[in-house]
Amino acid sequence: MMRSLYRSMLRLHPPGFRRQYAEEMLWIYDETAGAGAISLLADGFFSLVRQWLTLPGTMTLAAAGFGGAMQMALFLVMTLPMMSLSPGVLYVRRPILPSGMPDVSTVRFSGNWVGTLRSTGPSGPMELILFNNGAAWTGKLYLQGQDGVMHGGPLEEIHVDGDALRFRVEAGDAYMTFSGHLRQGKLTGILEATANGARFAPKGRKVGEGTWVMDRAGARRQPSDSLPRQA
Amino acid sequence: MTEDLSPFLPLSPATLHILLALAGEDRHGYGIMQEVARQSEGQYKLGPGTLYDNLEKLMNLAMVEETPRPSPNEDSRRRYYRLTGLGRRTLTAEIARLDTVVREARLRLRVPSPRRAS
Repeated sequence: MMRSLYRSMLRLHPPGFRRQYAEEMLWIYDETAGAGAISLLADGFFSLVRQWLTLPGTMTLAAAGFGGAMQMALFLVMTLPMMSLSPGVLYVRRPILPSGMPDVSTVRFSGNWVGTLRSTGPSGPMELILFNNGAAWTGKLYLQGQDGVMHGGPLEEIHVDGDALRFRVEAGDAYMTFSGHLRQGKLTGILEATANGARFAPKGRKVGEGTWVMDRAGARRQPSDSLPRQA
Repeated sequence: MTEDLSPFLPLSPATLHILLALAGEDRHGYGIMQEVARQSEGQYKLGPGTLYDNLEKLMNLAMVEETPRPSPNEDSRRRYYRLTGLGRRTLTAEIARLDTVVREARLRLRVPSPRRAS
């Protein structure tokens, strides 16, 4: 259990450091197992904090986050007295930060993809929402189905490394893998879909491919949380 | 031309011990940890997190570099590190600085503390 905890902590390190040293650190953990697992965990934790704090851009993001929080606090203080509050429910539109980002920890992109995915036709709009809680990335992807509705699913296996982004979405009967880069504000990349074996094709068979281009976007309406079946 | 190593000095205890551990021979990460414990007679123990944080910095500063494994049969997770010329010169400069500090400290500590007026 302690080993799993240590390995999980290594996974939370910045990607560059993790790729370079995580295996070796785990090997050392195995070599020294039993001799102070708690101190190794503490050492790993401090390393984790140091690595993120010394990562280029982290301090900028932290400062932006602090600025955003201050703006949000100011906005709430000024707005709340004017709002009639219904018990337990409050909807506040987020303020726009000077940097143009709607929220420092949530980034939205919207754009189009072109390809051969059978459930959506030859092309269509897509939306991507990425959220970083400081330790890990989560997110959702939405594609427009043939019914004209935006359908979405949670992102899995998200890898962010510099300007490179890769993730996977289980879309009905297929796994869809996206990989791309953020350059000059545009997120561009490649989409590959393989059957998950649920219905129409053997697991692992390629069932779609395409390219996608997205720009950073503002808040949109909340689409449904299911992707159309690949029928 | 004399090389100015002052921007690197003084070294942190972890950095000093890592450079010192690599001064004798090339070592893998665990070997460095063991050597640091041996050199300090167990008084200074380096965890893997601290070790690789510092190794990364030292490699970025070109004071340490990765070197091929001495034997191809060794565990592939073992990576070896060695001191570069810059690392050795920095370590030498730090030892000279510490030597001055120690000499000065010995000199001062021999001087009896001033007596209080009764």
